[in-house]
Amino acid sequence: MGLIPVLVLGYFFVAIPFWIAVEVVATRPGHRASWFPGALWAGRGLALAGVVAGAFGATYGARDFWHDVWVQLKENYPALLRGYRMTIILTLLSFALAMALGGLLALFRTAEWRLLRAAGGIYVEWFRNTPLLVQLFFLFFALPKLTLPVIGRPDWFLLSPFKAGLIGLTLYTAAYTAEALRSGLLAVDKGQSEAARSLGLNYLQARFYVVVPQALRVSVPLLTSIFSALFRNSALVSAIGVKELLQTADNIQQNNFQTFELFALAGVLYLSLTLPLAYASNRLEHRVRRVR
Amino acid sequence: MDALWSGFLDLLPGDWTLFKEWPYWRFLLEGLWVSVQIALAGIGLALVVGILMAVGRLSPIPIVRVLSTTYVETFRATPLLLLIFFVFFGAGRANTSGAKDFPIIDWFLDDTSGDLTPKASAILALALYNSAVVAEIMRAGILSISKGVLEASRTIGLTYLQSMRFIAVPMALRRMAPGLVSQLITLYKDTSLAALIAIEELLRRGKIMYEAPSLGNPTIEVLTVVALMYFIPNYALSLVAGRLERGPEGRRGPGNAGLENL
Repeated sequence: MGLIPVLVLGYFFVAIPFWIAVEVVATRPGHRASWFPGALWAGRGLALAGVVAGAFGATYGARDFWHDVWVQLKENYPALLRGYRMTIILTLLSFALAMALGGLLALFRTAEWRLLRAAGGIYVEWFRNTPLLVQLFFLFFALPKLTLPVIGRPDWFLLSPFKAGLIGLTLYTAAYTAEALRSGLLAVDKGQSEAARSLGLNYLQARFYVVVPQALRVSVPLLTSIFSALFRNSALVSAIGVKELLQTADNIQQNNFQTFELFALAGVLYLSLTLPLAYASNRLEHRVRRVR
Repeated sequence: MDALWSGFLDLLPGDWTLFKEWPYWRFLLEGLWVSVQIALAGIGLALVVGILMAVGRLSPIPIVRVLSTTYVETFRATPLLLLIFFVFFGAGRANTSGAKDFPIIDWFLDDTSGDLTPKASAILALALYNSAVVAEIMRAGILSISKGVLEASRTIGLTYLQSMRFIAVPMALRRMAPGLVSQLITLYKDTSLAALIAIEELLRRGKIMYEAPSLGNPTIEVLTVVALMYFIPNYALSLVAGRLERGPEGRRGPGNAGLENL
């Protein structure tokens, strides 16, 4: 038996149990013997050293992998960046459209007229409870075959992959933005709109000048995470042939079989936006909670 | 009954002749069953790993906390389709045949080649993503329990893990029920992504049906039925989530739970 297996086994069967035991004993409330702090820090040091050594070993073992990732990045960065750009364009455009449509739907869902409320409700429930992929397939494969009573089967029913993806993402996300905005609208105290009405503003004025600005502030954290989810969901449009990031990575991968490397690259590119967004959403949520 | 049903289908616009016959329904329903299997296996795995990760993120031990935070934040922020592709295409490159004889692991492996089956890779990818989301829901639930309760449980002599096991997790489970149910909705919708790695689940079966030339390519009709097969259970679940969110006295109708993890 060589030295390294002995060290590894010793680490897992001696150092880690020792550390956990000390940690459990020493962090018991009211039982801090004088030698515990030293033992505690010794245990933590051992554990940390093991993790550092393990990380170093894993990195060293995976150096070929990271080298291959680097080679793939060097060879394919123009295509990958084009895909990334397409993903971002799709996300931004459909988020803007979904905000507009979602705002309208939220106003529908909180309207005084029952029919509008029902229409908004049916839209939101339908698009929230069916998969995005089915909706995309519907837009891309089924819509060209649809014949409507009055307008028949117009040419623009035959959508390009980009348009179908954009419309699909917009319709799906609008259901979520509508709900986020509605929960914001409902969070505004009723007295606000009553006060505005009694000051002489009409229904729409009271909504737009008084209620909506306050509602937006409440829904910002939710909207941030919806945006991040939209960014991730945009990967689905690769199924109908839009050349976005995942599709690009997949195409290259199917040619040169560098599967892990290319998907790792695509993953890093996705994380480059979603991780900051998750952080921002957390911070915003704390801030809104503190203000309220 | 049969005549009534086909009479109803004749009233609808479009060509619904396929859906007058049982075999075509059965073809789709078998796909539905595969979807449900994937969803159930996925949520089962995700719940187990999610609880561990949630407790790990709140652990007093720094390394455990850092590792579980990394896990949760990474998998929550990755597109699910990327994870599915990663596991599915990656499974061909990883050599798993050595694990073929282990008891539970062999469910996921092909009997002859020892590779990960497509269905298993979909389940694993769904579990990776959803365990991270579930961990977040659970962490929020545990954090919503007032500090005094946990401190009290520590002072009566429970250890950290005991206070989690007997106090925090059971209390939190009730609070996160609406969030978990709406995550189940998302998970069930996401099983449709398995169609892209050639698993014959509901959407794939639908695609096979409307792409078969001999059946007359009834794209709109088949996709509508498929969408309804997703919609009906999901809408029922969303009503349940809304009910859980509001408690027994609340207004009827679906609620707002789980809006942040679509």
